[in-house]
Amino acid sequence: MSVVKVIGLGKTYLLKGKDKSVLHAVKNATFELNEGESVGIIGRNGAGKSTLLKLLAGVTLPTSGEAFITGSFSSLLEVGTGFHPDLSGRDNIFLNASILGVSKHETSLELANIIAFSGVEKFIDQPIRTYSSGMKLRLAFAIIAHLKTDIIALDEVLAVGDSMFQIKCMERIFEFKKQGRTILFVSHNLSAINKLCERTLVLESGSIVFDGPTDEALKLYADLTNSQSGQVVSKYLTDLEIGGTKSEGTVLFSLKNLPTNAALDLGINIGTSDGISLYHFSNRFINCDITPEDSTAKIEVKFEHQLKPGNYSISIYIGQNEQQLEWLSNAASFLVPAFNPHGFHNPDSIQGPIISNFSISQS
Amino acid sequence: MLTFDSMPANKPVRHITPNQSFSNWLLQLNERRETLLFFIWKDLKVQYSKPIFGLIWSIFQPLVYFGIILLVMQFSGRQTATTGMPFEVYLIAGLAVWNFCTSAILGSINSIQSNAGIISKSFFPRFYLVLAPMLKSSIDLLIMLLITAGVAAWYGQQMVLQSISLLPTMLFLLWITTMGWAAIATSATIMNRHFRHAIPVLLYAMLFALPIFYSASEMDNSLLKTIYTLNPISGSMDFLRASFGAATPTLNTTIFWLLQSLAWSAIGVLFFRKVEKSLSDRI
Repeated sequence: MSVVKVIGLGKTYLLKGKDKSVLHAVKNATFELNEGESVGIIGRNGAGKSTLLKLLAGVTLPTSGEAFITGSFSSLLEVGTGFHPDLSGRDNIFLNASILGVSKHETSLELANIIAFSGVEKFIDQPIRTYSSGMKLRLAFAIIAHLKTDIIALDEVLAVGDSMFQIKCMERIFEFKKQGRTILFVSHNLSAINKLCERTLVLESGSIVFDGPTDEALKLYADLTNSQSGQVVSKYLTDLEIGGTKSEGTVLFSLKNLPTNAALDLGINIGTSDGISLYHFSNRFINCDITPEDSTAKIEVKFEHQLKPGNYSISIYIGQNEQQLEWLSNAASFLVPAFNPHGFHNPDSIQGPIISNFSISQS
Repeated sequence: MLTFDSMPANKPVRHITPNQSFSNWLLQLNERRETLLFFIWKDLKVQYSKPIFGLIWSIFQPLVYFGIILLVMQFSGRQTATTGMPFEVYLIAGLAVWNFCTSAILGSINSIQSNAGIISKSFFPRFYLVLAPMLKSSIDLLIMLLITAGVAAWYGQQMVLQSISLLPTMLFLLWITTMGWAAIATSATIMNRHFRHAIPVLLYAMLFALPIFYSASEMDNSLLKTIYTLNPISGSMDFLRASFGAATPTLNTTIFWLLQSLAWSAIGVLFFRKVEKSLSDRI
């Protein structure tokens, strides 16, 4: 039974400026979701994933096409956006649930469970402004975790919070799945998509370029991200190209507009999508002097890695004369293609992102 | 063509299209009314977390203006020809109405920004952003009306018997017109955020442009007098003053005011519906 039917849905934005260009955030999206299905949505930043969810949630209206949604639909509010800082945690549960369309009666039935799940019982009558961001996040997720909606849209819920909390979230999402609820899951965490969704949509500049089994979608996505250079808009850096295999990686880029000819200080950082730094390569570590001849330079970085399959983020530091010229955080993504040497699934918070050769034997 | 054969039965179906019909819009306003109550409750709870301060802030502005205008009048020795009631009563009634209109419009404009997070992340009827601040300001209005009655009693002006019919007319004119103006001001702010700076100036100009501390009957320019009389907010003030013994406005003017307030609210709703489509993209 299909609970979501999307027919030629599109959203265009008119960009202001001299050329009056049009941005197609979502183009002619057509798909169906069946009851109880968990479907992943992947795509690079700006591919239209969030816009698609916003259209389905009714946050913004499409410019073309139509969609039918049967049953209640809820999407997770970004951490704390629905919270009022001066109200207590308890009051904010009611407020946030009401914004999500849940009645006061329903919320009061679930109140004890929500508070218990959030783990902030002690502070529940304190104003939210006294909460840490982690506490706010836990409370926000606890609310959506107890909603009785038929269809749940989750946009990057795993991008924040500590590892214990992420595990708790993931367990809860699997419970939704067991309960037979329909899940739309947007994430850059490919292993989570792989675990949760049998079917995945791949978005690329607003269009659904693939709709089918998750393993095929992940393969296609790996090709997409590796074949195209990152479009970094920066004053000093251009032509960024990233290449990755299961054990090696290359980062190529050109520098321009350098203010002086002084020796460069370059740093390339590889981290997880949730911000944990894994590798850092700097020309200073290896006493390699890079001196630009004019205001430009071409740089090639080659490295070995032991990363599990998945999407990592590359950040680049450019400095000269002990001064930072630029720090490009999350400048591009580094994709390690799918392979499975040890039979594991997931670079998650328990198993970690790094592989090593090891042996275990009975002695 | 699309069929619903495969759709689960007995569940509400939401149809997402580029345009939303007006009847659907109204239905949603009604369906999600609990969310509206929560918006009002949130603002009240924050304001009255310390009840004394909450009360003081809700009446602080009109009472300060009341004091200042009385002082200025006294020092300048200017006589005010008011319509058969003590100047203090005339003034506080005008300020009560003006204060509601101002705080509802400002509240509505500010609610776009203070709720930017939830607007861009979740769906609720956007018109609540206009309605919630207005309904919240109604509590302050109630307090101001009680103070007005107190001031009137102090100066020996009793509430007249007809006020049972006069006060509802006053509230209707005030609410409906303010809703229209708030919707227009908010829509303009959504379209171009620079209006955020212009509108407070206009609202304070209203303090002088409306017959608050003088009356239209004092004017000798008949055109200007007519313009003053046309305004439904002046009408609301006249009806409030009439409840305390001033002359009751004529039937013709009243009908004109009522129609005009309906027209303002219609313009406001139409304008708001036009810009709310792009609201989540503009903030």
